[in-house]
Amino acid sequence: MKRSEMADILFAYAERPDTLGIPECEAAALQPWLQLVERINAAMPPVQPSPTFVRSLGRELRRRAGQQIAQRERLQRTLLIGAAVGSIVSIASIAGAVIFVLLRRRGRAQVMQSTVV
Amino acid sequence: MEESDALLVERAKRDPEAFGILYERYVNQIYNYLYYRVGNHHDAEDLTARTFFQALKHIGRYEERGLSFGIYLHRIAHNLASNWHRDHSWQEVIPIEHLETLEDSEEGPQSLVEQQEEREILFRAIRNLSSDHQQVLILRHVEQMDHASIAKIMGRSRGAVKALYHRALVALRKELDQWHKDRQGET
Repeated sequence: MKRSEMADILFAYAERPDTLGIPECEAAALQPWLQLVERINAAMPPVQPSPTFVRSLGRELRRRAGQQIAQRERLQRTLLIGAAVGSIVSIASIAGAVIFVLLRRRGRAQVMQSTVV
Repeated sequence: MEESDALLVERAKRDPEAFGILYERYVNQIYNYLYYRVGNHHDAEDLTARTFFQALKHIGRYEERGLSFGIYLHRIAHNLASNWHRDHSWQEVIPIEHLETLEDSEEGPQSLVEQQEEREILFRAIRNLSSDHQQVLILRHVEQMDHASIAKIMGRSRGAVKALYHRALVALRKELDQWHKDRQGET
């Protein structure tokens, strides 16, 4: 029997210990392996965490999840306000620059006019 | 109808209760896995808590991309268990607590003692295996996972998982044979 076939049989046997799908000629050779798989199953029954632990961890996780969400929302709000203030400052600077340039041009034009007159 | 993990994860980014539901869905599985990786309730509880805290911390960045939330949690748990083994490599960990469950058996005391000894021998042998071998055996025998899920947790192909499972059984059998030889030598 190929190693991969054997691995498949043993893998399936770990979940459903019946020999129905195993070829009869292979059954005897596989017997010690099947027994080993059964022994592992018997040695590792599912275990349960204590209800007190589950409850207290659940409470703590919900509390931390709430804090985390509140913190993220605060951060997003701060970023949004920061971005808004940044935008207002940039718009004001551009407007200021435009006004400055226009005033300078007007000032130059007035100087030119007065020298011509 | 039960809400899917993917929807709960999305909701958990805004609603703490959604993470609570995910936690209740997976806490037993993760605890089971960690218990058999570390061999005692105290450390299993500690690592279970750390697994969920870590998942919660990164929930904002979590995207499914073919890796379900359950697999994601198992990966975190696997990494924490590996670190735990690295930090505790100097001390022998003898898992005795799980044998308590035998008290409920209806069989006679002689049979109980034999069963207990049998399980302890096997458990010690499993604990002597490499971390990968232990992991594949726990995921298959305790968690009853299929090839595909184990492959995703371990970051291997399905074929590699099959081969690893086979090698784990071979290694375990060698360990047990060695134990029996040593015992015969002693007597």
